[in-house]
Amino acid sequence: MRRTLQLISFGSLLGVIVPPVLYLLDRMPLPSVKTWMLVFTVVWFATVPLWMDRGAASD
Amino acid sequence: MAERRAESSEPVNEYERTPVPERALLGFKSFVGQYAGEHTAGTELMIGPLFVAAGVGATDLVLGLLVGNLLAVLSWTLLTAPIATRARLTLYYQVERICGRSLATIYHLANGVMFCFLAGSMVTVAATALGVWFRFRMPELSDRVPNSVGWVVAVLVLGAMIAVVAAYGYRVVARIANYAAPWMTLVFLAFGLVGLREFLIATGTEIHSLADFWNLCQTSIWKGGAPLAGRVKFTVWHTMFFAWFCNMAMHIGMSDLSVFRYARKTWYGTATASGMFLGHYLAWIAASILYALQLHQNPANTAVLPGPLAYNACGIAGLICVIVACWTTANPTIYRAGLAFQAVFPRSSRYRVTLVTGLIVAVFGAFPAVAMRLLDFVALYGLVLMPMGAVVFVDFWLFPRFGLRRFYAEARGTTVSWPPAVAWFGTLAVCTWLVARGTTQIYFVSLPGWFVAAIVYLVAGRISQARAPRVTPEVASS
Repeated sequence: MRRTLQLISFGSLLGVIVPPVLYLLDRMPLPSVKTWMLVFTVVWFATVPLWMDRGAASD
Repeated sequence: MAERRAESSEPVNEYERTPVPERALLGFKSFVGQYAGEHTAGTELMIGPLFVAAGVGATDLVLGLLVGNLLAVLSWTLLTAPIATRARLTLYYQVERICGRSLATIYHLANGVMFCFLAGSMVTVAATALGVWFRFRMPELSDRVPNSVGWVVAVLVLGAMIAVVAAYGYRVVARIANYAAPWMTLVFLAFGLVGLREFLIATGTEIHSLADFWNLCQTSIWKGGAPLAGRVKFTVWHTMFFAWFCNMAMHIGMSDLSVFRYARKTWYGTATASGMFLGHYLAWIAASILYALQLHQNPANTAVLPGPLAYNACGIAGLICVIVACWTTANPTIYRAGLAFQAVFPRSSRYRVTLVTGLIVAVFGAFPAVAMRLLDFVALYGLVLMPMGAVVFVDFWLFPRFGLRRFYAEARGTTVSWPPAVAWFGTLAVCTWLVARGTTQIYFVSLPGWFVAAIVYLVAGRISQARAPRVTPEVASS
């Protein structure tokens, strides 16, 4: 489960940076870049607390 | 109830007056992560544009930041970490032992005030993100005081929220900072990529080679030339010294003794490269591209407003980045300021002091003077705290070589030791005089200042210890 969550999280980081790269290469319009960045930002913040610093969560 | 909650939500400050034991030491990765997160802050979005406002050229920026950040990493590695890993004590405790409790209290106060201004500028930057949503009038580059009611309300509300969280929920924000760090670095990178593409569109440039790209940088992005009105022209020397000294309080000023006392090895100081080259290189350059684009599109629009800049580039994700970057760095800054003030008012609870400090920060944040003059403020911040770093350095390395007693105030039981006081205030007086008479600018004065502080403390320490009756021999482990 932890492995899957980590994969989703790291995938969402890719999802944050790939759209601007595609925009630089003229492969994606700016409004789509903004939308995808927001979507993957939500995915990152939704999944990362489920595995990062789990040991410290009970502090 | 409130006190109990406050206690349980505060970070643990262990080993404040004892050396960090072997079992508590941390690995290299901990420092890489900490510095990468701490130095990718909301204020980076302010500093990058201010370089452009200072008329920096492409070579001056790229080369100056490269060398300056390298010097900063070397300062941490060669000055701070060696003392930290040998003494394993906080800066505050070492200052108290060297200076005496009363002088250390003044140092705490100076530290606290500087932290408040710094955190205030973070609140200012965060409020520019709210301005995108609520469309109130925001400050211009030349503004010193608030220019609209909406701005004041936004800053005070945001500042008060940050203050309450810093007092009650420090750990929650610290955890969010950990979560946000890798994401934030990528969003900063995205600012640069989007800005670059916009430049290509705006100038009709096609990139076929590295030479084309560099030509775009020199002729359209960082054109050099005259700075904007009221700004100092930045050369390669300015950028280099700024990058080196912008965290001067932490490396040469020795504030990060408190961090590196947990390091197993001295070379862990190189971990600071993560913060310098992600935050102070990549993020500054990316943010400067966005501002250069704004000036390219409308030269009359000189306002440095990270919120709108980020929103135009990356939409709501960009705005979230501005707020998170500011919040997660303002949080520990307010907390540290609170700790510094608590040393001045020891009877007040840490919760109450942090809350009041946060509210002061909120008021400071409403005044855009610090944020709009962040380059000058950061240089001043380093200058004010730097002499005490020189004092710690001389006390640790040179005093034993000259047959002098380390931690002399502690050995004598005095509350004010005059040699560090003379070194600190004397250096500030000399540096102020040098800047006031135009001999050097504030960005450079800390370099000769460090040598002034070191020599004055060494000479004054010799005189002081020669005159005073002998104290008991130094304990080797101290």
